[in-house]
Amino acid sequence: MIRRHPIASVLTSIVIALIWVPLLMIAVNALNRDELLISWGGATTRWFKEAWNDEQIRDSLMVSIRLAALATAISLVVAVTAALFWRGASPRVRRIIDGATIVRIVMPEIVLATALLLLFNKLGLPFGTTAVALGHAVFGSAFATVVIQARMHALDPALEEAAADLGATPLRRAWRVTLPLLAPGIVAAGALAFILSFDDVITSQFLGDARENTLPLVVFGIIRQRVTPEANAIGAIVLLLSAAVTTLVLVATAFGKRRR
Amino acid sequence: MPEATFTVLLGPSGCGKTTLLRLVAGIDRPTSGTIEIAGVDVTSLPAHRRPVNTVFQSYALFPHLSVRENVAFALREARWSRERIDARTAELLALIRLEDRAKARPSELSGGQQQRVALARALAVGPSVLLLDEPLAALDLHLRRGLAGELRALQLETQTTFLHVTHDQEEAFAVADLVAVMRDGRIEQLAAPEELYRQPVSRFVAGFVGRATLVSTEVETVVGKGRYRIGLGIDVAGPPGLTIGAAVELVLRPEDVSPGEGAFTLEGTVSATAFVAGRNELRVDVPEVGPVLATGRAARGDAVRLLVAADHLWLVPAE
Repeated sequence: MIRRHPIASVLTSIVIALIWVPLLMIAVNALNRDELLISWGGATTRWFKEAWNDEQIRDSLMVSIRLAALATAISLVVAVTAALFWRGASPRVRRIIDGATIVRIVMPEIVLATALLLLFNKLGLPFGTTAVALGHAVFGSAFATVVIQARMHALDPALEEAAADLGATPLRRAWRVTLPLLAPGIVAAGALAFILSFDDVITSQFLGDARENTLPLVVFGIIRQRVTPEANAIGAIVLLLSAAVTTLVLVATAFGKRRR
Repeated sequence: MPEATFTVLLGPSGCGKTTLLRLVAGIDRPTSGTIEIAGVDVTSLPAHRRPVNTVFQSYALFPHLSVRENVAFALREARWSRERIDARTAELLALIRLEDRAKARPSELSGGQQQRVALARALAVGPSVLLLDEPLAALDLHLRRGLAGELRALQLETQTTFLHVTHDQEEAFAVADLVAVMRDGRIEQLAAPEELYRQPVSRFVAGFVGRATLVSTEVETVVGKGRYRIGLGIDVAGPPGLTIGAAVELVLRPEDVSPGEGAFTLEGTVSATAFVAGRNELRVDVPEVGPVLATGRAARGDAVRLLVAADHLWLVPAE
Protein backbone atom coordinates (compact mmCIF):
# COMPACT_ATOMS: atom_id res chain seq x y z
CA MET A 1 0.00 0.00 0.00
CA ILE A 2 1.20 3.52 -0.76
CA ARG A 3 1.75 5.56 2.41
CA ARG A 4 -0.05 8.88 2.47
CA HIS A 5 2.45 11.69 2.36
CA PRO A 6 2.07 14.12 5.31
CA ILE A 7 2.99 17.17 3.20
CA ALA A 8 0.32 16.28 0.64
CA SER A 9 -2.41 16.11 3.28
CA VAL A 10 -1.33 19.38 4.88
CA LEU A 11 -1.16 21.19 1.51
CA THR A 12 -4.55 19.87 0.49
CA SER A 13 -6.05 21.00 3.79
CA ILE A 14 -4.58 24.48 3.36
CA VAL A 15 -5.89 24.77 -0.20
CA ILE A 16 -9.38 23.67 0.81
CA ALA A 17 -9.32 26.11 3.73
CA LEU A 18 -8.18 28.96 1.46
CA ILE A 19 -11.12 28.29 -0.83
CA TRP A 20 -13.78 27.77 1.79
CA VAL A 21 -12.90 30.20 4.60
CA PRO A 22 -13.50 33.38 2.54
CA LEU A 23 -16.76 31.92 1.22
CA LEU A 24 -17.84 31.10 4.75
CA MET A 25 -16.83 34.59 5.88
CA ILE A 26 -19.05 36.11 3.21
CA ALA A 27 -22.00 33.96 4.26
CA VAL A 28 -21.44 34.71 7.96
CA ASN A 29 -20.94 38.44 7.50
CA ALA A 30 -23.99 38.68 5.25
CA LEU A 31 -25.96 37.78 8.40
CA ASN A 32 -23.83 39.83 10.81
CA ARG A 33 -25.70 42.54 12.70
CA ASP A 34 -22.40 44.39 13.38
CA GLU A 35 -22.24 47.03 10.67
CA LEU A 36 -18.45 47.39 10.83
CA LEU A 37 -17.97 43.59 10.53
CA ILE A 38 -15.47 43.62 13.38
CA SER A 39 -17.23 41.10 15.60
CA TRP A 40 -20.30 38.92 15.55
CA GLY A 41 -23.23 41.06 16.59
CA GLY A 42 -26.01 38.53 16.18
CA ALA A 43 -27.97 37.42 13.09
CA THR A 44 -30.06 39.66 10.90
CA THR A 45 -31.53 39.65 7.41
CA ARG A 46 -31.28 43.42 7.25
CA TRP A 47 -28.44 43.47 4.66
CA PHE A 48 -30.35 41.32 2.24
CA LYS A 49 -33.28 43.73 2.49
CA GLU A 50 -31.00 46.73 2.05
CA ALA A 51 -29.27 45.19 -0.94
CA TRP A 52 -32.65 44.41 -2.49
CA ASN A 53 -33.92 47.91 -1.81
CA ASP A 54 -30.82 49.48 -3.33
CA GLU A 55 -31.97 50.52 -6.79
CA GLN A 56 -28.48 50.48 -8.27
CA ILE A 57 -27.94 46.87 -7.18
CA ARG A 58 -31.36 45.72 -8.33
CA ASP A 59 -30.97 47.35 -11.74
CA SER A 60 -27.53 45.83 -12.19
CA LEU A 61 -28.87 42.38 -11.27
CA MET A 62 -31.49 42.67 -14.02
CA VAL A 63 -28.82 43.86 -16.47
CA SER A 64 -26.65 40.84 -15.57
CA ILE A 65 -29.50 38.36 -15.94
CA ARG A 66 -30.62 39.80 -19.29
CA LEU A 67 -27.05 39.81 -20.49
CA ALA A 68 -26.33 36.25 -19.33
CA ALA A 69 -29.54 34.98 -20.94
CA LEU A 70 -28.63 36.56 -24.27
CA ALA A 71 -25.03 35.31 -24.09
CA THR A 72 -26.29 31.80 -23.22
CA ALA A 73 -28.70 31.76 -26.17
CA ILE A 74 -25.98 32.81 -28.62
CA SER A 75 -23.50 30.34 -27.08
CA LEU A 76 -25.91 27.41 -27.36
CA VAL A 77 -26.80 28.09 -31.00
CA VAL A 78 -23.12 28.29 -31.89
CA ALA A 79 -22.16 25.24 -29.76
CA VAL A 80 -24.92 22.90 -30.97
CA THR A 81 -24.24 23.83 -34.58
CA ALA A 82 -20.49 23.42 -34.14
CA ALA A 83 -20.86 20.06 -32.39
CA LEU A 84 -23.20 18.68 -35.07
CA PHE A 85 -20.96 19.97 -37.84
CA TRP A 86 -17.89 18.51 -36.09
CA ARG A 87 -19.45 15.05 -36.04
CA GLY A 88 -19.99 14.96 -39.80
CA ALA A 89 -16.64 16.54 -40.65
CA SER A 90 -13.46 14.94 -41.96
CA PRO A 91 -10.55 14.46 -39.50
CA ARG A 92 -8.80 17.51 -41.00
CA VAL A 93 -11.78 19.80 -40.58
CA ARG A 94 -12.35 18.39 -37.10
CA ARG A 95 -8.85 19.43 -36.07
CA ILE A 96 -9.52 22.94 -37.35
CA ILE A 97 -12.78 23.16 -35.37
CA ASP A 98 -11.08 21.78 -32.24
CA GLY A 99 -8.31 24.35 -32.58
CA ALA A 100 -10.81 27.18 -32.98
CA THR A 101 -12.61 26.00 -29.82
CA ILE A 102 -9.49 25.63 -27.67
CA VAL A 103 -8.14 29.02 -28.68
CA ARG A 104 -11.28 30.68 -27.33
CA ILE A 105 -10.82 28.87 -24.00
CA VAL A 106 -7.12 29.53 -23.43
CA MET A 107 -6.84 33.03 -24.88
CA PRO A 108 -6.36 35.67 -22.10
CA GLU A 109 -9.64 37.50 -21.77
CA ILE A 110 -7.95 40.88 -21.79
CA VAL A 111 -6.65 40.16 -25.29
CA LEU A 112 -10.07 39.07 -26.48
CA ALA A 113 -11.75 42.11 -24.93
CA THR A 114 -9.25 44.50 -26.50
CA ALA A 115 -9.58 42.86 -29.89
CA LEU A 116 -13.39 42.99 -29.76
CA LEU A 117 -13.27 46.62 -28.62
CA LEU A 118 -11.23 47.54 -31.69
CA LEU A 119 -13.40 45.41 -33.97
CA PHE A 120 -16.72 46.80 -32.71
CA ASN A 121 -15.32 50.32 -32.94
CA LYS A 122 -14.39 49.73 -36.55
CA LEU A 123 -17.79 48.19 -37.33
CA GLY A 124 -19.57 51.03 -35.57
CA LEU A 125 -21.40 48.61 -33.25
CA PRO A 126 -22.61 50.51 -30.17
CA PHE A 127 -21.29 49.41 -26.78
CA GLY A 128 -23.85 47.91 -24.46
CA THR A 129 -25.65 44.65 -23.68
CA THR A 130 -25.51 43.23 -27.23
CA ALA A 131 -21.79 43.90 -27.59
CA VAL A 132 -21.02 42.39 -24.18
CA ALA A 133 -23.22 39.34 -24.88
CA LEU A 134 -21.35 38.74 -28.15
CA GLY A 135 -18.08 39.04 -26.25
CA HIS A 136 -19.23 36.58 -23.57
CA ALA A 137 -20.50 34.19 -26.24
CA VAL A 138 -16.99 34.03 -27.76
CA PHE A 139 -15.70 32.00 -24.79
CA GLY A 140 -19.10 30.80 -23.50
CA SER A 141 -19.79 28.98 -26.77
CA ALA A 142 -16.35 27.34 -26.65
CA PHE A 143 -17.00 25.83 -23.21
CA ALA A 144 -20.51 24.85 -24.30
CA THR A 145 -19.14 23.14 -27.43
CA VAL A 146 -16.83 20.97 -25.32
CA VAL A 147 -19.68 19.93 -23.01
CA ILE A 148 -22.06 19.09 -25.87
CA GLN A 149 -19.37 17.19 -27.77
CA ALA A 150 -18.79 15.02 -24.69
CA ARG A 151 -22.49 14.18 -24.65
CA MET A 152 -22.48 13.50 -28.39
CA HIS A 153 -19.78 10.86 -28.09
CA ALA A 154 -22.26 8.74 -26.15
CA LEU A 155 -24.91 9.09 -28.86
CA ASP A 156 -25.50 5.86 -30.80
CA PRO A 157 -25.54 6.71 -34.55
CA ALA A 158 -27.93 3.78 -35.08
CA LEU A 159 -30.68 5.85 -33.42
CA GLU A 160 -30.50 8.52 -36.10
CA GLU A 161 -30.25 5.85 -38.79
CA ALA A 162 -33.39 4.29 -37.35
CA ALA A 163 -35.15 7.66 -37.45
CA ALA A 164 -34.16 8.10 -41.11
CA ASP A 165 -35.26 4.55 -41.86
CA LEU A 166 -38.66 5.30 -40.29
CA GLY A 167 -39.17 8.22 -42.64
CA ALA A 168 -37.85 11.23 -40.72
CA THR A 169 -36.25 13.97 -42.83
CA PRO A 170 -32.90 15.36 -41.61
CA LEU A 171 -34.65 18.27 -39.84
CA ARG A 172 -37.25 16.05 -38.20
CA ARG A 173 -34.45 13.69 -37.16
CA ALA A 174 -32.64 16.50 -35.35
CA TRP A 175 -35.87 17.67 -33.71
CA ARG A 176 -37.24 14.31 -32.59
CA VAL A 177 -34.08 12.30 -31.88
CA THR A 178 -30.74 14.15 -31.87
CA LEU A 179 -31.69 17.23 -29.82
CA PRO A 180 -33.74 15.38 -27.18
CA LEU A 181 -30.87 12.95 -26.67
CA LEU A 182 -28.40 15.83 -26.42
CA ALA A 183 -30.69 17.73 -24.04
CA PRO A 184 -28.80 16.93 -20.80
CA GLY A 185 -25.59 18.16 -22.44
CA ILE A 186 -27.33 21.28 -23.75
CA VAL A 187 -28.71 22.09 -20.28
CA ALA A 188 -25.27 21.66 -18.71
CA ALA A 189 -23.61 23.74 -21.43
CA GLY A 190 -26.25 26.47 -21.07
CA ALA A 191 -25.75 26.67 -17.30
CA LEU A 192 -22.00 26.95 -17.78
CA ALA A 193 -22.34 29.71 -20.38
CA PHE A 194 -24.78 31.55 -18.08
CA ILE A 195 -22.41 31.48 -15.09
CA LEU A 196 -19.42 32.51 -17.23
CA SER A 197 -21.32 35.55 -18.46
CA PHE A 198 -22.92 36.37 -15.12
CA ASP A 199 -19.67 36.72 -13.18
CA ASP A 200 -17.55 38.27 -15.92
CA VAL A 201 -15.82 41.58 -15.23
CA ILE A 202 -13.23 42.23 -17.94
CA THR A 203 -15.33 41.91 -21.09
CA SER A 204 -18.30 43.61 -19.40
CA GLN A 205 -16.05 46.54 -18.46
CA PHE A 206 -14.50 46.84 -21.93
CA LEU A 207 -17.60 46.52 -24.08
CA GLY A 208 -20.35 47.70 -21.71
CA ASP A 209 -22.34 50.87 -21.66
CA ALA A 210 -21.33 52.91 -18.55
CA ARG A 211 -24.99 53.56 -17.76
CA GLU A 212 -25.85 49.87 -17.66
CA ASN A 213 -23.45 48.27 -15.19
CA THR A 214 -23.60 44.56 -14.44
CA LEU A 215 -23.80 43.23 -10.90
CA PRO A 216 -20.09 42.26 -10.66
CA LEU A 217 -19.09 45.76 -11.80
CA VAL A 218 -21.35 47.39 -9.18
CA VAL A 219 -20.04 45.10 -6.43
CA PHE A 220 -16.52 45.85 -7.55
CA GLY A 221 -17.30 49.57 -7.27
CA ILE A 222 -18.73 49.14 -3.76
CA ILE A 223 -15.91 47.09 -2.27
CA ARG A 224 -13.26 49.38 -3.66
CA GLN A 225 -14.32 51.90 -1.03
CA ARG A 226 -15.18 49.56 1.82
CA VAL A 227 -16.43 46.00 2.29
CA THR A 228 -20.01 46.64 3.29
CA PRO A 229 -22.51 44.15 4.69
CA GLU A 230 -24.60 44.58 1.53
CA ALA A 231 -21.67 43.41 -0.58
CA ASN A 232 -21.54 40.30 1.55
CA ALA A 233 -25.27 39.76 1.12
CA ILE A 234 -24.92 40.02 -2.68
CA GLY A 235 -21.98 37.63 -2.51
CA ALA A 236 -24.02 35.13 -0.55
CA ILE A 237 -26.89 35.32 -3.06
CA VAL A 238 -24.59 34.86 -6.04
CA LEU A 239 -22.95 31.94 -4.23
CA LEU A 240 -26.32 30.26 -3.70
CA LEU A 241 -27.30 30.94 -7.32
CA SER A 242 -24.07 29.33 -8.61
CA ALA A 243 -24.56 26.34 -6.32
CA ALA A 244 -28.11 25.94 -7.61
CA VAL A 245 -26.98 26.05 -11.25
CA THR A 246 -24.14 23.59 -10.58
CA THR A 247 -26.59 21.21 -8.89
CA LEU A 248 -28.91 21.53 -11.88
CA VAL A 249 -26.04 20.63 -14.21
CA LEU A 250 -25.04 17.62 -12.14
CA VAL A 251 -28.63 16.40 -11.93
CA ALA A 252 -29.13 16.92 -15.68
CA THR A 253 -26.01 14.94 -16.57
CA ALA A 254 -26.76 12.15 -14.08
CA PHE A 255 -30.32 11.95 -15.40
CA GLY A 256 -29.00 11.69 -18.93
CA LYS A 257 -26.63 8.89 -17.96
CA ARG A 258 -29.28 6.89 -16.18
CA ARG A 259 -31.61 7.05 -19.15
CA ARG A 260 -29.06 5.63 -21.56
CA MET B 1 -36.18 -11.58 -54.63
CA PRO B 2 -39.87 -12.40 -55.04
CA GLU B 3 -42.62 -10.39 -53.36
CA ALA B 4 -44.19 -11.45 -50.03
CA THR B 5 -41.55 -14.09 -49.37
CA PHE B 6 -39.25 -14.58 -46.45
CA THR B 7 -35.70 -14.45 -47.77
CA VAL B 8 -32.67 -14.96 -45.56
CA LEU B 9 -29.17 -13.72 -46.31
CA LEU B 10 -26.89 -16.30 -44.73
CA GLY B 11 -23.15 -16.09 -44.49
CA PRO B 12 -20.16 -16.00 -42.17
CA SER B 13 -19.33 -12.78 -40.30
CA GLY B 14 -17.82 -10.13 -42.50
CA CYS B 15 -19.18 -11.47 -45.79
CA GLY B 16 -21.15 -8.29 -46.50
CA LYS B 17 -24.64 -9.29 -45.35
CA THR B 18 -25.17 -6.24 -43.17
CA THR B 19 -23.59 -3.96 -45.75
CA LEU B 20 -26.05 -5.22 -48.35
CA LEU B 21 -28.93 -4.60 -45.95
CA ARG B 22 -27.75 -1.05 -45.22
CA LEU B 23 -27.55 -0.38 -48.96
CA VAL B 24 -31.14 -1.54 -49.43
CA ALA B 25 -32.27 0.59 -46.47
CA GLY B 26 -30.47 3.61 -47.93
CA ILE B 27 -28.32 4.21 -44.85
CA ASP B 28 -25.16 3.65 -46.87
CA ARG B 29 -24.68 4.57 -50.54
CA PRO B 30 -23.33 2.16 -53.16
CA THR B 31 -20.22 3.22 -55.08
CA SER B 32 -21.61 1.46 -58.14
CA GLY B 33 -24.63 -0.57 -59.19
CA THR B 34 -28.34 0.02 -58.65
CA ILE B 35 -30.99 -1.04 -56.16
CA GLU B 36 -34.55 -1.67 -57.31
CA ILE B 37 -37.61 -2.23 -55.18
CA ALA B 38 -40.73 -3.50 -56.98
CA GLY B 39 -39.18 -2.48 -60.31
CA VAL B 40 -38.43 1.08 -59.17
CA ASP B 41 -34.83 2.26 -59.05
CA VAL B 42 -34.32 3.63 -55.53
CA THR B 43 -30.53 3.98 -55.69
CA SER B 44 -30.59 7.76 -55.38
CA LEU B 45 -33.42 7.94 -52.82
CA PRO B 46 -32.38 8.82 -49.25
CA ALA B 47 -33.33 6.42 -46.47
CA HIS B 48 -36.34 8.41 -45.28
CA ARG B 49 -38.01 8.21 -48.69
CA ARG B 50 -37.63 4.47 -49.30
CA PRO B 51 -40.56 2.08 -48.80
CA VAL B 52 -38.33 -0.04 -46.58
CA ASN B 53 -38.06 -0.35 -42.81
CA THR B 54 -35.39 -2.01 -40.70
CA VAL B 55 -35.16 -3.96 -37.48
CA PHE B 56 -31.66 -3.10 -36.29
CA GLN B 57 -29.36 -5.58 -34.62
CA SER B 58 -29.14 -3.39 -31.52
CA TYR B 59 -32.88 -2.58 -31.99
CA ALA B 60 -32.01 1.15 -31.86
CA LEU B 61 -35.14 1.93 -29.87
CA PHE B 62 -35.39 5.61 -28.94
CA PRO B 63 -34.47 5.72 -25.23
CA HIS B 64 -36.26 9.02 -24.62
CA LEU B 65 -39.59 7.79 -26.02
CA SER B 66 -42.10 5.33 -24.56
CA VAL B 67 -42.94 2.02 -26.21
CA ARG B 68 -46.08 3.57 -27.71
CA GLU B 69 -44.17 6.60 -29.05
CA ASN B 70 -41.50 4.33 -30.52
CA VAL B 71 -44.13 2.29 -32.35
CA ALA B 72 -45.92 5.45 -33.54
CA PHE B 73 -42.70 7.13 -34.74
CA ALA B 74 -43.00 6.29 -38.44
CA LEU B 75 -46.76 6.97 -38.41
CA ARG B 76 -46.17 10.51 -37.19
CA GLU B 77 -43.47 11.03 -39.81
CA ALA B 78 -45.93 9.80 -42.44
CA ARG B 79 -48.39 12.46 -41.15
CA TRP B 80 -51.19 10.10 -40.30
CA SER B 81 -54.18 11.59 -38.48
CA ARG B 82 -54.27 11.30 -34.70
CA GLU B 83 -57.14 8.78 -34.69
CA ARG B 84 -55.47 6.58 -37.28
CA ILE B 85 -52.18 6.67 -35.35
CA ASP B 86 -53.93 5.69 -32.10
CA ALA B 87 -55.82 2.86 -33.80
CA ARG B 88 -52.79 1.51 -35.63
CA THR B 89 -50.57 1.75 -32.54
CA ALA B 90 -53.11 -0.13 -30.44
CA GLU B 91 -53.32 -2.81 -33.14
CA LEU B 92 -49.53 -3.19 -33.27
CA LEU B 93 -49.17 -3.30 -29.49
CA ALA B 94 -51.79 -6.06 -29.41
CA LEU B 95 -49.89 -7.90 -32.14
CA ILE B 96 -46.72 -7.94 -30.04
CA ARG B 97 -48.70 -8.47 -26.79
CA LEU B 98 -47.25 -5.43 -25.05
CA GLU B 99 -50.44 -3.36 -24.53
CA ASP B 100 -49.76 -3.17 -20.80
CA ARG B 101 -46.21 -1.85 -21.30
CA ALA B 102 -47.19 0.96 -23.71
CA LYS B 103 -45.97 3.70 -21.37
CA ALA B 104 -42.71 1.98 -20.40
CA ARG B 105 -39.32 3.17 -21.62
CA PRO B 106 -37.34 0.70 -23.76
CA SER B 107 -34.73 0.34 -20.99
CA GLU B 108 -37.40 -1.13 -18.72
CA LEU B 109 -38.13 -4.01 -21.13
CA SER B 110 -36.46 -7.40 -21.49
CA GLY B 111 -34.42 -8.21 -24.61
CA GLY B 112 -37.25 -10.21 -26.17
CA GLN B 113 -39.76 -7.43 -25.51
CA GLN B 114 -37.41 -4.82 -27.00
CA GLN B 115 -37.06 -6.99 -30.07
CA ARG B 116 -40.83 -7.11 -30.48
CA VAL B 117 -41.10 -3.34 -30.11
CA ALA B 118 -38.45 -2.89 -32.81
CA LEU B 119 -40.44 -5.23 -35.03
CA ALA B 120 -43.74 -3.42 -34.46
CA ARG B 121 -42.08 -0.04 -35.03
CA ALA B 122 -40.64 -1.19 -38.36
CA LEU B 123 -43.92 -2.76 -39.52
CA ALA B 124 -46.08 0.23 -38.54
CA VAL B 125 -46.55 1.96 -41.89
CA GLY B 126 -46.65 -1.31 -43.85
CA PRO B 127 -43.32 -1.20 -45.71
CA SER B 128 -42.85 -2.98 -49.05
CA VAL B 129 -39.83 -4.69 -47.61
CA LEU B 130 -38.91 -5.34 -43.99
CA LEU B 131 -35.20 -5.66 -43.37
CA LEU B 132 -34.03 -7.61 -40.32
CA ASP B 133 -30.39 -7.29 -39.30
CA GLU B 134 -29.57 -10.30 -37.09
CA PRO B 135 -32.66 -9.49 -35.01
CA LEU B 136 -32.31 -12.56 -32.83
CA ALA B 137 -28.54 -12.51 -32.28
CA ALA B 138 -28.70 -10.81 -28.88
CA LEU B 139 -31.20 -13.30 -27.43
CA ASP B 140 -30.59 -16.66 -25.78
CA LEU B 141 -31.14 -19.87 -27.72
CA HIS B 142 -34.51 -20.79 -26.21
CA LEU B 143 -36.03 -17.37 -26.85
CA ARG B 144 -34.47 -17.28 -30.30
CA ARG B 145 -36.33 -20.40 -31.44
CA GLY B 146 -39.66 -19.10 -30.18
CA LEU B 147 -39.19 -15.71 -31.81
CA ALA B 148 -38.05 -17.23 -35.12
CA GLY B 149 -41.41 -19.01 -35.28
CA GLU B 150 -43.22 -15.79 -34.43
CA LEU B 151 -41.34 -13.93 -37.14
CA ARG B 152 -42.44 -16.49 -39.70
CA ALA B 153 -46.06 -16.31 -38.53
CA LEU B 154 -45.95 -12.53 -38.66
CA GLN B 155 -44.57 -12.56 -42.19
CA LEU B 156 -47.33 -14.89 -43.39
CA GLU B 157 -49.96 -12.76 -41.64
CA THR B 158 -48.77 -9.41 -42.98
CA GLN B 159 -47.77 -10.76 -46.41
CA THR B 160 -44.77 -8.44 -46.32
CA THR B 161 -41.49 -9.21 -48.02
CA PHE B 162 -38.95 -9.98 -45.30
CA LEU B 163 -35.22 -9.79 -45.90
CA HIS B 164 -33.46 -11.25 -42.90
CA VAL B 165 -29.73 -11.36 -42.27
CA THR B 166 -28.13 -14.00 -40.07
CA HIS B 167 -25.06 -16.18 -39.69
CA ASP B 168 -27.11 -18.86 -37.94
CA GLN B 169 -28.24 -21.46 -40.48
CA GLU B 170 -30.65 -23.13 -38.10
CA GLU B 171 -32.43 -19.80 -37.71
CA ALA B 172 -32.32 -19.26 -41.48
CA PHE B 173 -33.81 -22.66 -42.30
CA ALA B 174 -36.50 -22.25 -39.62
CA VAL B 175 -38.04 -19.17 -41.21
CA ALA B 176 -37.03 -18.90 -44.86
CA ASP B 177 -38.79 -19.50 -48.15
CA LEU B 178 -35.49 -18.76 -49.84
CA VAL B 179 -31.96 -18.62 -48.51
CA ALA B 180 -29.16 -16.65 -50.16
CA VAL B 181 -25.72 -17.87 -49.11
CA MET B 182 -23.26 -14.99 -49.22
CA ARG B 183 -19.53 -15.09 -49.51
CA ASP B 184 -17.13 -12.16 -49.82
CA GLY B 185 -19.92 -9.73 -50.74
CA ARG B 186 -21.49 -11.95 -53.41
CA ILE B 187 -24.51 -14.18 -53.32
CA GLU B 188 -23.14 -17.64 -54.01
CA GLN B 189 -26.51 -19.40 -54.21
CA LEU B 190 -30.14 -18.39 -53.82
CA ALA B 191 -32.45 -21.36 -53.33
CA ALA B 192 -35.03 -23.01 -51.11
CA PRO B 193 -33.52 -24.56 -47.95
CA GLU B 194 -33.79 -28.16 -49.15
CA GLU B 195 -32.28 -27.42 -52.55
CA LEU B 196 -29.45 -25.58 -50.84
CA TYR B 197 -28.78 -28.59 -48.68
CA ARG B 198 -29.18 -31.25 -51.37
CA GLN B 199 -27.79 -29.43 -54.39
CA PRO B 200 -25.22 -26.84 -53.32
CA VAL B 201 -23.52 -25.05 -56.22
CA SER B 202 -20.11 -24.88 -54.62
CA ARG B 203 -17.80 -26.39 -52.09
CA PHE B 204 -18.34 -23.31 -49.91
CA VAL B 205 -22.13 -23.70 -49.82
CA ALA B 206 -21.86 -27.45 -49.22
CA GLY B 207 -19.55 -26.88 -46.27
CA PHE B 208 -21.41 -23.90 -44.84
CA VAL B 209 -24.90 -25.38 -44.94
CA GLY B 210 -25.29 -28.43 -42.74
CA ARG B 211 -22.60 -30.99 -41.97
CA ALA B 212 -20.80 -32.70 -44.79
CA THR B 213 -17.74 -34.66 -45.76
CA LEU B 214 -16.18 -33.60 -49.04
CA VAL B 215 -14.31 -36.26 -50.99
CA SER B 216 -12.03 -35.13 -53.82
CA THR B 217 -12.31 -37.01 -57.09
CA GLU B 218 -12.79 -36.29 -60.80
CA VAL B 219 -15.35 -36.73 -63.55
CA GLU B 220 -14.62 -39.86 -65.64
CA THR B 221 -17.51 -39.78 -68.06
CA VAL B 222 -20.69 -37.84 -68.55
CA VAL B 223 -23.52 -40.37 -68.23
CA GLY B 224 -26.46 -38.11 -68.93
CA LYS B 225 -27.78 -34.63 -68.32
CA GLY B 226 -26.46 -33.74 -64.88
CA ARG B 227 -25.26 -37.30 -64.20
CA TYR B 228 -21.63 -38.26 -64.06
CA ARG B 229 -19.47 -41.34 -63.44
CA ILE B 230 -16.72 -40.38 -61.04
CA GLY B 231 -13.34 -41.74 -60.04
CA LEU B 232 -14.76 -43.82 -57.21
CA GLY B 233 -16.64 -45.90 -59.78
CA ILE B 234 -20.21 -44.75 -59.15
CA ASP B 235 -22.77 -42.65 -61.00
CA VAL B 236 -23.93 -39.52 -59.16
CA ALA B 237 -25.84 -36.29 -59.82
CA GLY B 238 -24.22 -32.92 -60.12
CA PRO B 239 -24.72 -29.50 -61.67
CA PRO B 240 -24.96 -29.52 -65.49
CA GLY B 241 -21.90 -28.54 -67.50
CA LEU B 242 -19.11 -30.48 -65.78
CA THR B 243 -16.65 -31.85 -68.31
CA ILE B 244 -14.62 -35.05 -68.41
CA GLY B 245 -11.56 -34.78 -66.21
CA ALA B 246 -12.96 -31.91 -64.13
CA ALA B 247 -11.80 -31.94 -60.52
CA VAL B 248 -14.89 -32.32 -58.34
CA GLU B 249 -15.82 -33.04 -54.76
CA LEU B 250 -18.42 -35.49 -53.63
CA VAL B 251 -20.73 -34.17 -50.91
CA LEU B 252 -21.46 -36.85 -48.30
CA ARG B 253 -24.10 -35.94 -45.73
CA PRO B 254 -23.79 -37.91 -42.46
CA GLU B 255 -27.35 -39.28 -42.76
CA ASP B 256 -26.53 -40.81 -46.19
CA VAL B 257 -23.59 -42.79 -44.82
CA SER B 258 -24.12 -45.64 -42.33
CA PRO B 259 -22.67 -49.07 -41.54
CA GLY B 260 -23.89 -51.71 -44.04
CA GLU B 261 -23.24 -53.63 -47.27
CA GLY B 262 -24.07 -52.55 -50.81
CA ALA B 263 -22.91 -51.11 -54.11
CA PHE B 264 -20.71 -48.29 -52.86
CA THR B 265 -18.89 -48.81 -49.58
CA LEU B 266 -15.99 -47.27 -47.72
CA GLU B 267 -13.89 -49.02 -45.10
CA GLY B 268 -12.31 -47.40 -42.12
CA THR B 269 -11.82 -47.13 -38.38
CA VAL B 270 -14.11 -45.21 -36.04
CA SER B 271 -12.10 -42.37 -34.48
CA ALA B 272 -14.84 -40.55 -32.60
CA THR B 273 -18.52 -40.86 -31.73
CA ALA B 274 -21.02 -38.23 -30.70
CA PHE B 275 -24.74 -37.86 -30.15
CA VAL B 276 -25.77 -34.92 -32.32
CA ALA B 277 -29.26 -33.64 -33.15
CA GLY B 278 -30.99 -36.84 -32.08
CA ARG B 279 -28.72 -39.36 -33.77
CA ASN B 280 -25.43 -41.15 -33.24
CA GLU B 281 -22.77 -39.61 -35.38
CA LEU B 282 -19.53 -41.37 -36.22
CA ARG B 283 -16.28 -40.00 -37.43
CA VAL B 284 -14.60 -42.70 -39.48
CA ASP B 285 -11.05 -42.48 -40.78
CA VAL B 286 -11.11 -43.93 -44.27
CA PRO B 287 -7.65 -44.51 -45.84
CA GLU B 288 -7.02 -42.34 -48.94
CA VAL B 289 -10.25 -40.36 -48.37
CA GLY B 290 -9.83 -38.92 -44.90
CA PRO B 291 -12.28 -38.51 -42.05
CA VAL B 292 -15.90 -39.20 -43.06
CA LEU B 293 -19.01 -38.32 -41.05
CA ALA B 294 -21.57 -41.14 -40.80
CA THR B 295 -24.67 -42.11 -38.84
CA GLY B 296 -25.01 -45.33 -36.86
CA ARG B 297 -23.94 -47.27 -33.81
CA ALA B 298 -20.31 -48.30 -33.36
CA ALA B 299 -17.64 -47.95 -30.73
CA ARG B 300 -14.42 -46.00 -30.97
CA GLY B 301 -11.70 -48.10 -32.60
CA ASP B 302 -14.12 -50.41 -34.45
CA ALA B 303 -13.32 -51.28 -38.06
CA VAL B 304 -16.50 -50.61 -40.06
CA ARG B 305 -17.75 -50.91 -43.62
CA LEU B 306 -19.89 -47.91 -44.58
CA LEU B 307 -22.69 -48.01 -47.13
CA VAL B 308 -23.18 -44.79 -49.05
CA ALA B 309 -26.74 -44.12 -50.29
CA ALA B 310 -25.75 -43.11 -53.83
CA ASP B 311 -29.13 -41.63 -54.82
CA HIS B 312 -28.59 -38.60 -52.55
CA LEU B 313 -25.02 -37.87 -53.54
CA TRP B 314 -24.11 -34.62 -55.24
CA LEU B 315 -21.02 -33.18 -56.87
CA VAL B 316 -19.57 -29.72 -56.56
CA PRO B 317 -16.67 -28.30 -58.57
CA ALA B 318 -13.39 -28.41 -56.66
CA GLU B 319 -11.79 -25.07 -55.86
